[in-house]
Amino acid sequence: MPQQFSIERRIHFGVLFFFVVMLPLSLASQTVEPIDRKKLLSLISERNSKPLLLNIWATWCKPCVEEFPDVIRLSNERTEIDVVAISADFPDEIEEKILPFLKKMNVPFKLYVADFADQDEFFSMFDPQWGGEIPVTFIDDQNGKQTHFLRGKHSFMEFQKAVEEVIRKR
Amino acid sequence: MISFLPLGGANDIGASCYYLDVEGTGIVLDSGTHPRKIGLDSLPHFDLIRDKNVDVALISHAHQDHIDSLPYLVQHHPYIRIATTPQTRGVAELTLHNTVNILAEQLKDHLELRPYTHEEIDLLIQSIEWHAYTEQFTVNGYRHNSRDPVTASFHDAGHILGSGGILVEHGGRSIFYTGDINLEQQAIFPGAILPNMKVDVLILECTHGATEDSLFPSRDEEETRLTRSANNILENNGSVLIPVFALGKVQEMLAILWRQMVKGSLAKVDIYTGGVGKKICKVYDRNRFVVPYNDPEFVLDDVPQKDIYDIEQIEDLSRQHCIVLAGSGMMIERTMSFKLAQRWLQDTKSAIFTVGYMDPETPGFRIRHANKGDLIQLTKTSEPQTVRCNIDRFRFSAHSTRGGLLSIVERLNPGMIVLVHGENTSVDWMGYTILKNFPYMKVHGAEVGKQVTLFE
Repeated sequence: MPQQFSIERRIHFGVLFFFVVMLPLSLASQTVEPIDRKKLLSLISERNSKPLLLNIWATWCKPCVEEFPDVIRLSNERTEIDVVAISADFPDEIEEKILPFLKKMNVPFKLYVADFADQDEFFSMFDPQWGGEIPVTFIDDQNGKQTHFLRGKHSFMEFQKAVEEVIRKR
Repeated sequence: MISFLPLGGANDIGASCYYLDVEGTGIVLDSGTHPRKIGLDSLPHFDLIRDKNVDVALISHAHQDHIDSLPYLVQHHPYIRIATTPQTRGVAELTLHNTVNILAEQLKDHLELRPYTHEEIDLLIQSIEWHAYTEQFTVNGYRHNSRDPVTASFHDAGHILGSGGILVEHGGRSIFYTGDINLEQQAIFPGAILPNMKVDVLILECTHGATEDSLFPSRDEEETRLTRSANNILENNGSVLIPVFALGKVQEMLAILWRQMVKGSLAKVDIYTGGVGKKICKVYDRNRFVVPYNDPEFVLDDVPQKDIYDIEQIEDLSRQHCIVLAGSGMMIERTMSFKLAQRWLQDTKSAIFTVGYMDPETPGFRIRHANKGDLIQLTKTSEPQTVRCNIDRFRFSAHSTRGGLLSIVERLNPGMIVLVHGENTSVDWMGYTILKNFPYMKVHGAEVGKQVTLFE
């Protein structure tokens, strides 16, 4: 009995620890930073010898919001790639729109919001074929060369397939 | 109590603006200007709500007659909340800045009304909150006097990018304002998605109430006829002028023309566009995966286009064997389509094709109803001129036919209907037919300044 009690206590403690300490910590660590041209350039060029999946989304975009959990799952399951998401919301909407949305999820990757006075400048930093439609996902290999330009909403399986292709090429 | 007070756009198309008082919360539905009026005459009767609670403005879409007086409404009520769809906010940023330029010119001699400025529009756009289709949000005002909240949501109206019917709910009661609505598929959009519920009150637009459904051929037939007519003109070295609204019609016509050119049915000639219509195409393209779209792979910006404003002598366009899409849609005086029409009318080889709504007092209406050889006077001050070009009319409406409007009534099955946004003949036909088919419904024809009690 004492041992059983101890296991229960441990489970209770574990659950309590998760909700009281870990969960708030993980939520608190969810920050969204504005990203300008300079920061974006260094983000794209920094590689850590890993491929990069860059997802561009917005809270007002229903397919983006529907796709987002699959991007999170991909990041959790494929640690051999870096994942970054850039929101096309306005920088002054971080508190009001972006963080409330993110609170519903536990996002394991870096989050930014585009901070460009000229939208076209932001669009021009990716594929010249990209006209700003979202959701959109770019995948670069470990050398920074773009391998995939995925327009519209994609599933976990589709992302997984694209990542496989990049990894296989290494 | 819940009451409804039209401030504009009642038995007329223009200056749409309606005031709803929901238990002390003041809601303004749309805030447009009248496209053929100038100065104070073009505005809704804001004086009717000067002493009332004005808490939130809900904007159905970004056409001039639904949004262009919003900056003036904000001047009267600086603390008002404004909400619309993200797409309407994106488009409004372009159209309202464009209106600043038009007003600066129009109001030069109208001292009673100051044109709004680009700075005011920048601030206005920043202050607009957005809500995706079907997202419900609370709009309670400061003097809301009920425990139940007032909520609102936008529902895809299938009219233009971002257009939304507005559902207002309070204490189990529902009021649905259609805005401009289209149930049928267009070239780009698949048609409205109505709320899946019975509503208590329906505020229904009546644009086509006076037009028999038989006058609207199928879109396929109309596209084929337009293609054939355009080919006839182009083969004879003529050019086609299509006056279009920058928002909605430019994009629809580009989609239609390009589809026919790709199929090889329409001669591949230069298409001229320009101005704000071209910029709006980019907003369409950016949202093609976000809102219901017939073909998200279709990109308006990929359609080869030349810019009208790059031409040194715009009058020479009629000799260039091309198709020109130019605003305004109703060929209002001093606009590009008006200037071009004056030139086109003289050219026997060319044609003017009208494709959308024309207010009966506009130059566009006069041209649409003229025949070759007629003598027409485009404005009160202009010289009469003989029509030498071909004139043809094509029906690519972005509004529901009257059969479509009746099916909205049937599907939403309201206890009460308020008819708005239509000329008297349209409102009369809709009222008569609704009462005949649904005798248990209460029907009101809206009148500016006349309050209707929706719920005691």
